Amino acid sequence: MSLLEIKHVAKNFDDTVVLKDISLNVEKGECVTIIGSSGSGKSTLLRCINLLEQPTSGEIVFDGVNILNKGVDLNHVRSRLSMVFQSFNLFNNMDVLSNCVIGQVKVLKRNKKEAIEIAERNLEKVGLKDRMHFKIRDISGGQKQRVAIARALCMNPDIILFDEPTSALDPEMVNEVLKVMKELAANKTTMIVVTHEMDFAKDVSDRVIFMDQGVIVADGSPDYIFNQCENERLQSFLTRRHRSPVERIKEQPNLFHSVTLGD
Amino acid sequence: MDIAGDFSVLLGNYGIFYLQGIAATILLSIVGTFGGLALGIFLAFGKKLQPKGKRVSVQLWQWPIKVFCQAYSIILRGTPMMVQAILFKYGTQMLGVKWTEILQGVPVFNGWMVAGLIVITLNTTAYMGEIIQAGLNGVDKGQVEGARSLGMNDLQILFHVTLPQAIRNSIPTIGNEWIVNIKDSSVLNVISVAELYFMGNSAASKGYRYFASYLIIALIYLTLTLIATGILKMVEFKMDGKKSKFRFINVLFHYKTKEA
Ligand SMILES: Nc1ncnc2c1ncn2[C@@H]1O[C@H](COP(=O)(O)OP(=O)(O)OP(=O)(O)O)[C@@H](O)[C@H]1O
Ligand SMILES: [Mg+2]
Repeated sequence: MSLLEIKHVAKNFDDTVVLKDISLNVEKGECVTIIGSSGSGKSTLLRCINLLEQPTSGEIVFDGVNILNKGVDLNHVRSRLSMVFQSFNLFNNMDVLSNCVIGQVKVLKRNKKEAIEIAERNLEKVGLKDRMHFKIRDISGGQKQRVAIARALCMNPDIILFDEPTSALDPEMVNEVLKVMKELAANKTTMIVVTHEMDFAKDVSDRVIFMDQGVIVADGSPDYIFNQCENERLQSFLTRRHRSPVERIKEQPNLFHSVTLGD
Repeated sequence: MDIAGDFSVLLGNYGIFYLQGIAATILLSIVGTFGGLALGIFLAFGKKLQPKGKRVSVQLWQWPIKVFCQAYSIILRGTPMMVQAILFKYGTQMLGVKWTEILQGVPVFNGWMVAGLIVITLNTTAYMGEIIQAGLNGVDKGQVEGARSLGMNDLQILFHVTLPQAIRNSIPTIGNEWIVNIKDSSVLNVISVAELYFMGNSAASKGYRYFASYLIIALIYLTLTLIATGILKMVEFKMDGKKSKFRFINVLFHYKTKEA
């Protein structure tokens, strides 16, 4: 039995079909990345797993229990499936340490002292122990995202869900966050990562899932997805993404011309 | 007309009137503001309830509360406090409440004070409800999702994430209600609450020194509102952890403090 089994999940928002018949298993210790173009339903899938959205149909079996069943303790499930968001979503009224402590005390009912110790340990892991008394507004974007990861780790989740954790960051801060995520993957943390960082998908993840228009189009090892799979939609997505900005400009001779002419 | 003479007579012989009036006005404004804030938080919750589409058993209690809170807010903000005070006075008298017998003989609290405290609190509640509701709406949804993704329940999110920020962000408007209350508590003289205006009026009538007495209370109101403004600025200053020095003079001239 896999740790997480998504079976035929569909999700509509009113008339818009966002997810269609998604099935996917995630094993303990696996690092799965989800790639796909904007609007393909990646975030919605993650949010369904964390129950921030209620799937329209299907089953999500987590640790042997269908978490969509009535009577399942929603908040307990969420605490075991921590989420890291693109926009950090830290609590602005608390300092770094309290951000990491509050969930432990309120949800896991740990005592304060123990929670602080655990928070300090996880902040150390992400390299921010010296910032633990800073206010959220006084730290950089990269630091915020590392705090968000520490906050998630403090819950000792079975799976961490990342929704484009580096997309809102300035380029020079992307690597400090990816480095932390790589360490987590190396330590066999189960994680599902929605990302536009193709290098992360290629080099770090055990498995890559390509989504398009609400369905899983391809699912396999990084080598399979990036080198072997010949699916047309995947190919067009990869070539679109892989071209550098310079190459894209070169494809437009007129634009390129006007630049040189003006010189 | 000898205004200087009137001043000295009023302050010399009736100084205690003004002091009592000041105490009563401060009491009314503070109780009204904090009491109104506390009740206003509940009012905001009531107005924010969303019974639509919920289970029937939930709808059954949520609809009446929501409708009550909305009606309360509209009616109390849409009528003058003076009229509310009079209606409250005669309404409760018809029910047999004897306000002047409550806390009889206790300085400042005697007479119609308790009724006045209730009226100003109920009135402020309506405004505070609006302020807190706006404050709650202003907290970004991302933080709520962040809390939810950790497994926090709605009440925990409210008390630890959204409400503290709603209150923090509303402090300037909440403070403004306090200043409004310092001034508007004067209308409670219509139900004989012994606040500053009422007391100033009493002192004046002892010897027909109306202009001088009203000038005195005008100056006192001005002083009170300036002090209140100063206190509020100081609180905001402290909370923002600004580095520059706080200067009371800035309050008078509305100097903008530089953003940190
Ligand atoms: N709450 C909602 N109500 C209505 N439509 C929604 C809602 N959330 C998402 N959608 C729609 O669902 C589709 C998929 O959205 P989703 O955010 O899952 O895409 P995504 O793959 O994460 O895209 P991106 O890479 O831009 O983040 C989009 O067309 C979006 O407009
Ligand atoms: Mg997304």
